[in-house]
Amino acid sequence: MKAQEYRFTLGLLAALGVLLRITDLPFPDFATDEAQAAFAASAAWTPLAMGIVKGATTLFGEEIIVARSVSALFGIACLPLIYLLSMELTKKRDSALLALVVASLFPSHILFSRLAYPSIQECFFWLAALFFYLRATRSKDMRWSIALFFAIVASTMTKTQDILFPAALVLGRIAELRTKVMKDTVTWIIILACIPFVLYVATHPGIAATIFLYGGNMYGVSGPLDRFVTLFETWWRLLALFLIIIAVSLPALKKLPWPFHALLGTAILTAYLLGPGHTYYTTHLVFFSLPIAMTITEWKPNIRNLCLGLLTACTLLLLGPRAVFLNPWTEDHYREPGFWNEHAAEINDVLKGEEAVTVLGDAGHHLRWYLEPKVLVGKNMTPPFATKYVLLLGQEELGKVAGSKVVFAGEIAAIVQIRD
Amino acid sequence: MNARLLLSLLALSLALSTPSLMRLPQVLPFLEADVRAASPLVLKKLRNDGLWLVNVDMQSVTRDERGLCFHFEHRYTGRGRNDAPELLTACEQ
Repeated sequence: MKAQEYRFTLGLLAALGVLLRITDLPFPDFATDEAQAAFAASAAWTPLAMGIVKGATTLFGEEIIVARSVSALFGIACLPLIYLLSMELTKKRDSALLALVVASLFPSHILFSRLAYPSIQECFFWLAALFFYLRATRSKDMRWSIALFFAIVASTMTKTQDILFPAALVLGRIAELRTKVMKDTVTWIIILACIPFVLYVATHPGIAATIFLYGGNMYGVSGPLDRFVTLFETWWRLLALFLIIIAVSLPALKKLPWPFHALLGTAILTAYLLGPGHTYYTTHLVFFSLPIAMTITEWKPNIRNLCLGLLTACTLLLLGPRAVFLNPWTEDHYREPGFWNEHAAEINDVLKGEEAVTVLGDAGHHLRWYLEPKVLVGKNMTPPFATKYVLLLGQEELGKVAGSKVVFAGEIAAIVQIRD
Repeated sequence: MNARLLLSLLALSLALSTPSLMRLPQVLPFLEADVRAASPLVLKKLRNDGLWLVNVDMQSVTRDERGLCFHFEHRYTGRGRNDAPELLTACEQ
């Protein structure tokens, strides 16, 4: 393959990655975290990412496709950032182009570009922060320092745990500069950029409450080996061949500077400590596109092309448009139509005219998205319930409404009438 | 060190923090141990009423004959609905 043909092929693969990010957007059910983002109502997150999703749905309509389009745009915007970051770090155009292509085909990054979780915005702001950090430390142009300030503010106001990356940068800077750090403008810029985060957390006790609620069980280091196994299983399920190529590319990390390691370390540590089974943390593994590209750029053209072909096939099998590529390896979200997307209208017909409905079971925020009456969380309520209907999420809840009449029964939810 | 730049960014940081700074009076009562101790019990009361805590925003904490009273603004939000706010008070002896 000639150089021109090779670059054209890379361009096509990158375009494929972009198209995959806008494929099947409305298909899966809206998840609880996505609904929280769309309502801009989470006690645990800092406000920017959910504010952006809420802004989009306010402007363009409360539709799943609108909320998820925000992620698609951020996911696509990550790609040129990865190219720029790779250029900044390697100074090699071929490697940077390849990093862009690997990132564009990266399954977990595609998946979370299609769903309205804040993790894709987090990924974008982390990449921006690292790129501007590198520019600010290598150039005397003040504009890079100002850009770094804004990227850190945006990043830390996206999700609470995003404070870890600037904290890692400051610690790295201290290790690098020792006592000179006190006179280092970049370090002070990072610290100043964290002030809005610190004041937000201090004035929103819900964040501390969430940390205390999950601390020691979901958050923390309990069951360290189990966490590792769960993390590996989660990665394997979403990445398949990409996980193998990540392992092969690990030696290339030695050629990358410590701020990149800080970014990667923060991403992996966040997943390990805060929930190794949470698939949205795999979004950040797209950062491995850089060492992967550095590794396969050095391979013989035939082997490199074969590798790219296999990675493309892997991505299409996992996340190709379901109308064409539905197969036994298709990612879970795209196998079957979602229960709530299919049945919400039917359930709302049953509840028509009701002011409120009590929900028993593990009630997620998506219920407020799908159900028209006001949803009361019944878990802590004492029977008898004040509403005419109770929505049951799970068979085990039936005992709490004995003698009631079943008016709707579905795979994961049923409605019972408890009074006339 | 570029002092002028840092001072400008400090001012900008504080300006961006204005919404948080305006909430400071609401959270100052949490400096007192009995307020911190009562808050989980009060939240439990709200949960017992079937409320989504993300729809509840604490406005103030007062002390009266009912004990320590937490005043909240509750606004139910759902797709296509943003109910009028209602004021709730939950007290703990």
